[in-house]
Amino acid sequence: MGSFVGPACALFIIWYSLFVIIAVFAPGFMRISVFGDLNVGLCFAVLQFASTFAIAVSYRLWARRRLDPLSDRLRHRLEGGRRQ
Amino acid sequence: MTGLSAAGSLASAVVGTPSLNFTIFAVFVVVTLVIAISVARKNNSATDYYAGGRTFTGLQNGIATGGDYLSAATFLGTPGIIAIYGYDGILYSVGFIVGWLLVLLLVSEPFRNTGRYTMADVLDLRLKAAPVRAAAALSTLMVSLFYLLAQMAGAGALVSLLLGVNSSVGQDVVVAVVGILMIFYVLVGGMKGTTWVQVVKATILAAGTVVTTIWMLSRAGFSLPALLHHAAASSRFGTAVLSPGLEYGVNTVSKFDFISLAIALVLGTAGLPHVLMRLYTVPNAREARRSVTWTIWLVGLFYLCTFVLGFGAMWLVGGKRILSAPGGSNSAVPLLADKLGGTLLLGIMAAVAFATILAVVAGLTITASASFAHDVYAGVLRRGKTDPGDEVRVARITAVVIGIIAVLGGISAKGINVAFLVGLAFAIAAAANLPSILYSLFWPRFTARGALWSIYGGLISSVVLIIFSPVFSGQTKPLGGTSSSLITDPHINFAFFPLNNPGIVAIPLAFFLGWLGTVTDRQPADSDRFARMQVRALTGVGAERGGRS
Repeated sequence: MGSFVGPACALFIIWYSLFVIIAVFAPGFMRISVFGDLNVGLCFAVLQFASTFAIAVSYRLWARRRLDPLSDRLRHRLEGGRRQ
Repeated sequence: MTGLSAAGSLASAVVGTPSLNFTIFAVFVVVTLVIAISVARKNNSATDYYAGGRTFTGLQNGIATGGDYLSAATFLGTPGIIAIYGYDGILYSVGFIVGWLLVLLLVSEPFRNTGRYTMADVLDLRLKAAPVRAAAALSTLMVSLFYLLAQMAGAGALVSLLLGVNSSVGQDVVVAVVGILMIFYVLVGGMKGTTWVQVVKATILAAGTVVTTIWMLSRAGFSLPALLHHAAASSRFGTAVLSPGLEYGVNTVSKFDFISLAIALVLGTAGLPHVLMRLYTVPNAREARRSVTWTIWLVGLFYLCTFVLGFGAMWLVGGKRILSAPGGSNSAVPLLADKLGGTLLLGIMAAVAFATILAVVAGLTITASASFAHDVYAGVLRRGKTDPGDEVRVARITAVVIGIIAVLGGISAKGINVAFLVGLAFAIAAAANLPSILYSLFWPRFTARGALWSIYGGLISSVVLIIFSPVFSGQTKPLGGTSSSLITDPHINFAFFPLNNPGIVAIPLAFFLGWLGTVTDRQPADSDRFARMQVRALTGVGAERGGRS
């Protein structure tokens, strides 16, 4: 069960920490222009949103494929002959 | 703000047509009251009152959770901070969305499967100790009250801006009306009514925000760089508003203050009791997962819009006009709506803001009343020997008491930037609630002593650090605006803790205390109980199912 959840948690926490640390200690990097007044800092912020959506969607896919069958099997065994 | 001239400038600061704003707001109140009354016919059992009968779908509850989360403090406060400080406000938006991954990945499903109505249920299933239940209830009540204060503090300022109620007494009356309406929703509608109110509110909030955002973008020719360019050009800080540092980069202390806030935001969401309690309104863990995913989409969409709204307000309204308005930075969104769509759009956004305050206050009240009635009264005082009807009666009385406290708090906390008060509530939630939730779900050795050390340690350290921080005394804002200390007299200064947000100290301390209390505990952990809880967390065997029982 830790095959997805553990790494995904580590990934988003490191990615978010990187964002915070750069914003606080290396604001010069965030000022670099990407397109006109749109700079690295603003793109980085939007990427935080994108990664959040991506992790949420892939967790749902993983859970449906791996977690739910496991949970069903285990519940079936525990509830045995009883209905439901 | 003293004297006649200030009163005159306040009167001229009112925007829009108060009567139109009032009409739109009244329509919302009537519609939601009808909903609350019509869903409330069968609302007598504890499951109905606390968990809406567990009949909501993932989508419905996901939207309602988004409604609970997108409080007036964030709806008004976050774009407001962006409009004044630029990029540093965006740091809030990012923290508010990223924290949801923790709820989705680690908390939502096991939490739904192992509890019944409150956070304390989960700890109780794992540790079976009345003192732990009492501690969890106390921290739930503290976080809810702090959050309530933040919401009610926003209400007064908003009223003065939108309804033209300038007199202090008039504002207090409106805050009291908000409180009475909210008590009515909770008493009549219970969790079912409150959830539907949230769904309606979150939907109009999302619609209003998206419409205003698109409108704003059209002003800039749908070009983000153009919007940023105009915003920076009209700010007195120039292009500095487009990169971090304006509010938090001033010195080392403010840098660490920001790191502290960032930690609190990302870890606090998973410890917010009113968000966690929503997980019980769906029939099973899979619906809980679905509902958190919907929340992430809704909340993410909203916070992406705050970028445009914030910089848009900086451009079209201007920082000076925003700060001089009665609500300070919280008035950025209403003022922007007025600039863009005139009185009608302003009226709609004003109604959204009111709806938000009402709905979130109702959600917090039901959480706090459930925690008191279910955990303190039934679980600890009566040791589980109560009938559910009795428990619900106590919950309803508690809701009335909390409503009164919220009104009094709101009247005395007018004019503080509310997004920042929410940051404090997040810090307390992360320090007092999150360590014991994660430890009981995932650490086999965790004991009741560890839980008590971590909850009380997190709660006491965060509250004490707030009291001795610049939030309470001795703060002067470098960039102007109102003094944000609670004690405005500059001669009274007992702020020996330099940071505004206690998260960086209190959260690691609470995790450490949970560990220390456990490893020094002579009584071994009940490993059987942990194993049983693991199975239940995964399968939901033994958990209360939803649907028609």
